[in-house]
Amino acid sequence: MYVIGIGRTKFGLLSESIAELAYKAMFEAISDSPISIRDVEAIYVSNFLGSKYTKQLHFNAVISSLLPELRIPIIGIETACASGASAIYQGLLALNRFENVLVIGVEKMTDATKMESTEYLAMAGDRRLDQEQGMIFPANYALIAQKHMELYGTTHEDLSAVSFKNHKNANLNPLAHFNYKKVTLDMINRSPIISSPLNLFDCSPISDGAAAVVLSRTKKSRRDVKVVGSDLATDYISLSQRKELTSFASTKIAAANALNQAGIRPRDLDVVEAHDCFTIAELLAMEDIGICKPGESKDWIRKEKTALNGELPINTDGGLKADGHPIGASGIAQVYEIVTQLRGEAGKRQVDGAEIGLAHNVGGVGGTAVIHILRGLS
Amino acid sequence: MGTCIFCNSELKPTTSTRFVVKGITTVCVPSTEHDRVPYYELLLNDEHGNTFIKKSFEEFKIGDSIEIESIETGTYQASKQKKIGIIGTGLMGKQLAQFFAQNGYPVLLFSRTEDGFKDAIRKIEKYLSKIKDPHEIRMVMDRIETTCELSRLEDVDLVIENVIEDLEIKKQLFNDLSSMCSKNAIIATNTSSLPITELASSIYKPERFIGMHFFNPVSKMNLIEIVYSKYTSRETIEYMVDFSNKLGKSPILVRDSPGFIVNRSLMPFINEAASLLQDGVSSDDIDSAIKLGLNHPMGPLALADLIGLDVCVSIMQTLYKGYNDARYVPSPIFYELINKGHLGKKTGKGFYEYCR
Repeated sequence: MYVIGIGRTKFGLLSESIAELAYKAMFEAISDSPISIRDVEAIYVSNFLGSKYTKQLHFNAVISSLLPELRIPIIGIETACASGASAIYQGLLALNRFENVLVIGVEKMTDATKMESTEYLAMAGDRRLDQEQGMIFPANYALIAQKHMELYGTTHEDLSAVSFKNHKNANLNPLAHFNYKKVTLDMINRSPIISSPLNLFDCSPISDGAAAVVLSRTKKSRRDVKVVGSDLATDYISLSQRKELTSFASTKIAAANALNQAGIRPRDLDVVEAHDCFTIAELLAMEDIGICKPGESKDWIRKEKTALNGELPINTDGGLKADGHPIGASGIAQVYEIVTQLRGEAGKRQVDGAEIGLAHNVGGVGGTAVIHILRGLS
Repeated sequence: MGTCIFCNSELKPTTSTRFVVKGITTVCVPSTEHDRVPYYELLLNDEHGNTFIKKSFEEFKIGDSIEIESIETGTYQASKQKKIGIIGTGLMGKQLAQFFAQNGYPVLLFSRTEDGFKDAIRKIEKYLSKIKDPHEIRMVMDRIETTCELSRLEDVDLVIENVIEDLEIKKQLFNDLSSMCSKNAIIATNTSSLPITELASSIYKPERFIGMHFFNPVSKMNLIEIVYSKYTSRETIEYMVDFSNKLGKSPILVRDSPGFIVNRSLMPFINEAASLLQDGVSSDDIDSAIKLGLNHPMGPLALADLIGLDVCVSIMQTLYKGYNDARYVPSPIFYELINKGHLGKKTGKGFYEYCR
């Protein structure tokens, strides 16, 4: 199984409609691949909140309308913030039947007010246990951060360091939401509290954007990247149903299975895209994937081991924090970045000699987690 | 309740009685269903080791032991929220309606005439337009209901009266009101100087009657003078202090006496400033001297304009009647201005002129 083409739009506050964004990303992915759109046999569409933000459901048929006369199977996938990687996971499974599959993820979020957005995003939590009790997403991750600090001595400075690193990486990614923005530690530390102890710079932004990948059963060109591991795991939706706050069982299971499929250990990884919807989530991901032991992520951050020139660069595109988080597109953009790195096409943010990369996408507070591991061919 | 899908054993519900706070975060961003911030999200463990998430407007510490009933769950279901009746659509009535609605309370605004509340709603919308989010404005406005019928106040939990400072008019209103609203409703007056005990005599069950004196502008001024009569019950006083704190205000308890604390001190001060003006000192000099010399944010003449010269005179008359002290006799300049229709900022002219 191979990724043979990738495409994405810029992330941020964009003027295009949701359909225009999807079309742009698909067009670019097909143009980037050696195949024609007529060779695509099925499409998986990732979108989380189109029904709320753009009042559009039945989005698979919207995609069909963008590709007249194709009339192939097109199916929508929704697993909250993990929708993108879940669609890729489904696309890969479908390669048992089809030779080429296109996966497209899109979200248009900036037309709503902040209060509406906060409410919509909370829909990834349980209606009764979380939403009705005011458990918006920053509050979930705030409670996780509080526990992580209590258990392991992680500090808010460690979280700020994650934010600072990801913003620095985004400065090297022309498509990133915050590519233009020079962020200082002082700006991060002085930003307003969202849900204590998390402040504004601990949170990923509300972005528009789309990303697409073309998957193929067989190798088509030297620029292809091989998928060597793919797994999806699930867990209780609400933190109130969990025994443990500072670790996501879904990430642990999906990572262990995907690493096993790939026949590698975490230390073999050269570049990682971790789901940093909030800074604390990146630390949790490092521990759950097995990059470091529980509680040690803070030491990695303090030693800058995950910086672009560190031992294992994480979120080289800026991550959800600074590349942006157009939900349906995010998980696909992570794979876009890994493929770009493994092809050696990442320009100023290229990780030297990157051969194996991992993408980690989470829905909600770990109700869904998806891991993909890719290996470059050159 | 059903059987376990794994082992077929019977499923039984457990009941929890004691909860311990395991985590707490202060949420500072509003969302459509939870628009009153900040609020607290609590992670609780019960005696069986089960975890619960609860919203609260009360702050707790990790390790605190609490009863679940004691947590006010907030604004999600508007029907559970205390309903506030506001009587009168003048300067204070409008501001109070807006203040309570912005704090998440359903408000029933009463005016004798339809024009009264139409004008009030227009003004409130204008104040609110400073908030950029039109959705937020709609949410606040949706909480304000209006009525011309006093009987509609039958289901409010607290009613605050803001009509003209006239003892007889207020007494008549309270007489009508106390037979219409529920026996448990607390009846408050926002009077700035009238005797609470005398007003209480017109009320059925006067132990629930209390003075709740707000200051202008309500959103910025943190003081509430809580004025109790000889009939006011301890429960009513405690409820009011607690409620004022929940609103983010600072209550100060005052026994019923003309002018309470603030106006009894303020009115002679304003009156003296007016006498200075009559002696030929310019209004700018008087106000600048007080601002610079006493570090007041505004001078007494500008403040009198803001309060309304007619309101000042009415308070001074009440004080004079109560204390029989010549200090409280309004300086003639008040009558000169009032007779020309210059009542202060609200009419565009008082001691100063204002752009309307």
